[in-house]
Amino acid sequence: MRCFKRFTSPGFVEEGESKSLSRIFFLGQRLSSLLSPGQRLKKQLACLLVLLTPISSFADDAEEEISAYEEMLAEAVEETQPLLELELEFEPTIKVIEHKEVRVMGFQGRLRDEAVEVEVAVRPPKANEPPLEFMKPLYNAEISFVKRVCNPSDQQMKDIIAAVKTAYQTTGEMDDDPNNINFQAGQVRIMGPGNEQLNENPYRRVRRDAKNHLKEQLSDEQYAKYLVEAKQRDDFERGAAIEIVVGLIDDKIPLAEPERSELVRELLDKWDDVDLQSVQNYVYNPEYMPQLPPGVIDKVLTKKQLATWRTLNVTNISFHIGFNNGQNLTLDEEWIQ
Amino acid sequence: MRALFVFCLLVVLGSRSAKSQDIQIDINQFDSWIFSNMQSAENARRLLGDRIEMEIDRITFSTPLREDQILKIRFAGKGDIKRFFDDVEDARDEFRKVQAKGEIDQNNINDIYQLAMPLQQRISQGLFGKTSLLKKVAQATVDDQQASEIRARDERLRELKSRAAMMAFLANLGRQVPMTHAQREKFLELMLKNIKISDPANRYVSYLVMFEVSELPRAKLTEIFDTAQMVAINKNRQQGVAMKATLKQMGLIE
Repeated sequence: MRCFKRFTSPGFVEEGESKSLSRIFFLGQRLSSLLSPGQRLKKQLACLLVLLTPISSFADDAEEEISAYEEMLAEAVEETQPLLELELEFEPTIKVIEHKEVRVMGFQGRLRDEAVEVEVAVRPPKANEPPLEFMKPLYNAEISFVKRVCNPSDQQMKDIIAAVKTAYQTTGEMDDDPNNINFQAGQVRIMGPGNEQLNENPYRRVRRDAKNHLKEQLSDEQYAKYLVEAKQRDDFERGAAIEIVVGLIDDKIPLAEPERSELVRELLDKWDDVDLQSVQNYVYNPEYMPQLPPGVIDKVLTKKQLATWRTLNVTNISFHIGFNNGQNLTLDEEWIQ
Repeated sequence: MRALFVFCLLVVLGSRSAKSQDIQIDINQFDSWIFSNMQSAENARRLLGDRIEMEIDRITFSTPLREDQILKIRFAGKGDIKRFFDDVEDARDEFRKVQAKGEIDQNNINDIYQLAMPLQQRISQGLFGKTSLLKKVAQATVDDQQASEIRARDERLRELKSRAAMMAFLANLGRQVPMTHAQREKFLELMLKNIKISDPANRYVSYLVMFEVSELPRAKLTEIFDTAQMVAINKNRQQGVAMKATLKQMGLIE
């Protein structure tokens, strides 16, 4: 079997760190983003790569999470294998340590007759990293969003603030040591206002934390409303970003109406992780074009258009997340002091 | 970016000593700065020729062209390419002069790069923009009916870009001033009805939208947003007002 990718995780998994399911899933996505068998495959692979999270420890009261995690693993294997024509060479070795910690020891798989071999590195846990101060306004804004969308009672607001504050306290883990972080080609670097090397998009982090922490604080009806509104917001941001990118492409490569519509459709379908702020960098720097999900451009453009596309400066521009200007424009609602 | 490039270049070219004669750049290296992803002048000529055809396609998306019109537009496009390569030749001459004197060193390498960089930017941004011969000839060649069809399509594209710019503004605003889906939709509708963006393809379009929002009647906004939201939005509108002079200077507003 030929090994075509060998990957060592960039060290963002920390031994002994308590992880939520969504965090584990996020790590799986991070791992999958480093492989490029196609965006659609990536999504499926992401499910499987959940298995690769080497150490996932859960809080003491996380019996439900553990059982959900085990179910998810089983489903991921069942659903992903036929889709990817992937055969597991070895069953992933999952060890439950002291009944609270799940350890995946290793994994090898074959993807379309080629090998994916993954090694996972674990770095020592970060000890009590202080939260990132610039994240506070983002968490406060999210609480303000919940307030407007769900109309919570006073008591609910107190509980929501306490829960979100707990999430905020863990944001120190987003700041990667520049010496440890292992950026890959095609990955957008996101930096904080003090040049912090962030290991995830701050807005996604806040929204994911809110989603995880609000369920307990809101009624089912309120929570469902929050999920709908949050998705509408995400879709709106993604739609804006994709329309901008298609406009930039059209400036360089004239698109007929059907091509334009198909490009929008394809990107909406395949470009989940596009970030609005990242895309806006290309409006200011029109000599560059963003990297698009694999397969989209090849599918939509003609040969002549593709030849032009290949001569464009397609690159991912690193960017600072824009808090500085934004801070003085935020609502005067400082839930987390 | 430029500083980084020069730094990298020096790291690559600089060997054991930092003596100036250690820097060796030939005309091929100079050309590669200009043509970048197009790889060579020859390849660039071919690809730019293809781009003329694509610009002709762009017009035919709006209206069919007669063969004589296509010939004129193609000829004008070739003029743009010639004009570009004339400038490339001038830059090469400058480079050769410095090279012949053996004066390429760490002190002037940035100046040499500056000869190539504007040309690289021109080619990256496209040779067939608003001020190109191709565009001018195309405008002069088409008849009234064709011109009206081109204008109609341009207007549709302008609307799409304007809408995207307004959506981006609104999405960014929503990250600072959280709002519900209904509020977002109402605000977008208000913008679409009341704002006409002069140049939505401009790189500073976000400032243009911010300014235009500052011109919207306050009463319309208070119908959509609550008091706390309005306080934050008004701060944003004040920033938009402050943009007015700059945008005027840039010719983006009257």
